[in-house]
Amino acid sequence: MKPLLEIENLVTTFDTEDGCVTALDGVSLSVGQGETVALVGESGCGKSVTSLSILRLVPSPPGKVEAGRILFEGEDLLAKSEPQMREIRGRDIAMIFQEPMTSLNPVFTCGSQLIEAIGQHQRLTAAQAKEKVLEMLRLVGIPLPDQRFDEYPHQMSGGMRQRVMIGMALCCAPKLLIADEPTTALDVTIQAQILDLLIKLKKKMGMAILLITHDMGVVAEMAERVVVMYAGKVIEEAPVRELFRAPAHPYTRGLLDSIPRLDVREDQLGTIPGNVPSLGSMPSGCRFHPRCPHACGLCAERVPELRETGGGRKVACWLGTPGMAVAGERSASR
Amino acid sequence: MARYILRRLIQSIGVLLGVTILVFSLVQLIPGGPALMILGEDATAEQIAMVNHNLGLDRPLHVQYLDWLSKVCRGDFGKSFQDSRPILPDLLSRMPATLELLAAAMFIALLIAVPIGIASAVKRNSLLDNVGRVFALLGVSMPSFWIGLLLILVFAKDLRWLPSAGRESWTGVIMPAIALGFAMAGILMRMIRSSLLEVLREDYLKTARAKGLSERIVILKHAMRNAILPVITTIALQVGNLLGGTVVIETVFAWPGIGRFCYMRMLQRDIPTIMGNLLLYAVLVCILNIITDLLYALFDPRIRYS
Ligand SMILES: Nc1ncnc2c1ncn2[C@@H]1O[C@H](COP(=O)(O)OP(=O)(O)OP(=O)(O)O)[C@@H](O)[C@H]1O
Ligand code: SF4
Ligand SMILES: [Mg+2]
Repeated sequence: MKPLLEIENLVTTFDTEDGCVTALDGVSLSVGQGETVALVGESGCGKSVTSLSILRLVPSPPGKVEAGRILFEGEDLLAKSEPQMREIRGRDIAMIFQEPMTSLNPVFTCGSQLIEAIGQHQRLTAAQAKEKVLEMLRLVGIPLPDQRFDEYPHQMSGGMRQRVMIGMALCCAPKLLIADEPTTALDVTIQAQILDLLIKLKKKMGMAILLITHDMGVVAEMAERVVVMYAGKVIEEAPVRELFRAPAHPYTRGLLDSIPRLDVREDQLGTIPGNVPSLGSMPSGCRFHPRCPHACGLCAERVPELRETGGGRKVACWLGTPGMAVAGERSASR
Repeated sequence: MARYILRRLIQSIGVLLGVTILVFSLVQLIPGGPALMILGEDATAEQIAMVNHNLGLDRPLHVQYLDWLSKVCRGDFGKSFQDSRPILPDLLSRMPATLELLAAAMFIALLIAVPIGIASAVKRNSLLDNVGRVFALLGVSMPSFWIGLLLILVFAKDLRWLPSAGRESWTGVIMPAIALGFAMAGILMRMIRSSLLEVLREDYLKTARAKGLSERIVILKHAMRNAILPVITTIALQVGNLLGGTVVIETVFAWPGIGRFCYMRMLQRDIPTIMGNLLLYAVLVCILNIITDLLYALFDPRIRYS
């Protein structure tokens, strides 16, 4: 599959009161044309910062993309001027956010906010634009679109607003849709509806999706490939089936063990001990080592690089490497 | 929406009633009473009783109040002690000048506050932000008459650019408007800044940027339309202060409005005129507040549709 988006060694930092923190420390991932890639990881691991970095929307100051490349259709987005980026935002890469309650501007009608999105990238008459918006609202499953067009966000339910957001994101038929936890804030039944809608729209329009979530159930339902992040780094990448079948990284294993399942009682669910490290005080070596059941001396000293292990899989862990085997024997013989 | 307006109207009527009671009671507290003022210090007790009887001041207070109120409601504010002319026409004829000054002061305040407020929120802690902060502090802490005198010294006496007094040419309003509007500019600037800073964190601005909108449209359209809401309330509150300020500023600049008129009548203890003036101010503030509420509803659909 030809990569549509390729991120290489992305480093994004924030200038905070406690000094400069590195939110993304060399993130690399790719999304193929029409592919759905899930980006998963615990809260604060840098998923949203990654998505904002792609669109160059990291608030600056305090944020700054320090290094790396973000190739979109072969062109580096980090080298583009702001006007060029504005052309790309909304037209080629669109984004939906977690909070449908706050992602729409409360003082404008939903219709006008969609018209604005279309008008930004297409030359249409007012009547054509309105027709297009109504068509989009119909497409995202909003009943009575003519009536909804003139309504304000506060007059709609969360699920309806997220549909409007999706309609807004897709109205210029983007090649890549970044969905940052699109269902997290919604009721369970609505979550399923929105996921179904995304799946349906994806079939119809064929865009690639970078789906950010920490819900492994959503991953299983939607994604083809999974990228797992931990504390600002990508630690595993694999086709979704492979990942569920045989997670290579201890952290991924922990994530999968913590999914509620029918055959396991709630209190038997695995949890990952310890807490996510804060950006200011990152552990040395492998950032997961204080919480990892397999950690050994090497893990605390040297950073495991993301390496290919065949079958489209990548993992950043010393487990199974020659160095680890030696260290492992040493600790076993003690 | 209609209910919202109705509620505000009824509230205003309540407020105005309260003001009439307050005005009436305040006047009762003036030592000596009107009779002394009319007759002078060395009036005899009979003369005073006579005048009081003629003015109806020997009746019980609540009767006096109701009598006064019913006249006021019919637009009869009584006659001046000073020249025995009906008060209301004299006040109303000076109203346009005061309203003109108010509008000009408000315009100047907005002219200063909006751009600096926006710029200092967007470029927080920049040089401009700090300069704006100093100006706001100056605006709030310098009395308006002092700014007025300073302006007269510089622009009327030294440079001779602007007239120091009166309303003969349109340039006359510039200096009093600046003097009056400066303090309000400071307050508004701070208000716009903090309100916009709050809005700048909102998710819908991320959405707006992700559409590909320019930063100018994101700020001026999407952010400002929300940030302006609390500012409207501040403006409404400040108008009352502004109105109070006109008394001093109109006097300093010999501006022929109600403020100066009443200042002079106050010196002469012309009680009915002062009462009429206070009432008129209260009505004015109420009207402006209702307009503000309507504006607020116009700007915020969440109020319009509830
Ligand atoms: N504006 C900011 N200023 C300072 N630090 C920030 C800012 N935005 C993000 N960060 C830091 O970057 C890190 C990653 O944040 P991010 O929002 O990407 O997490 P996330 O993976 O999306 O988490 P969640 O699942 O909670 O959305 C956080 O630890 C946070 O402290
Ligand atoms: S590198 Fe070591 S500490 Fe890190 S995940 Fe692998 S085994 Fe655990
Ligand atoms: Mg996030």
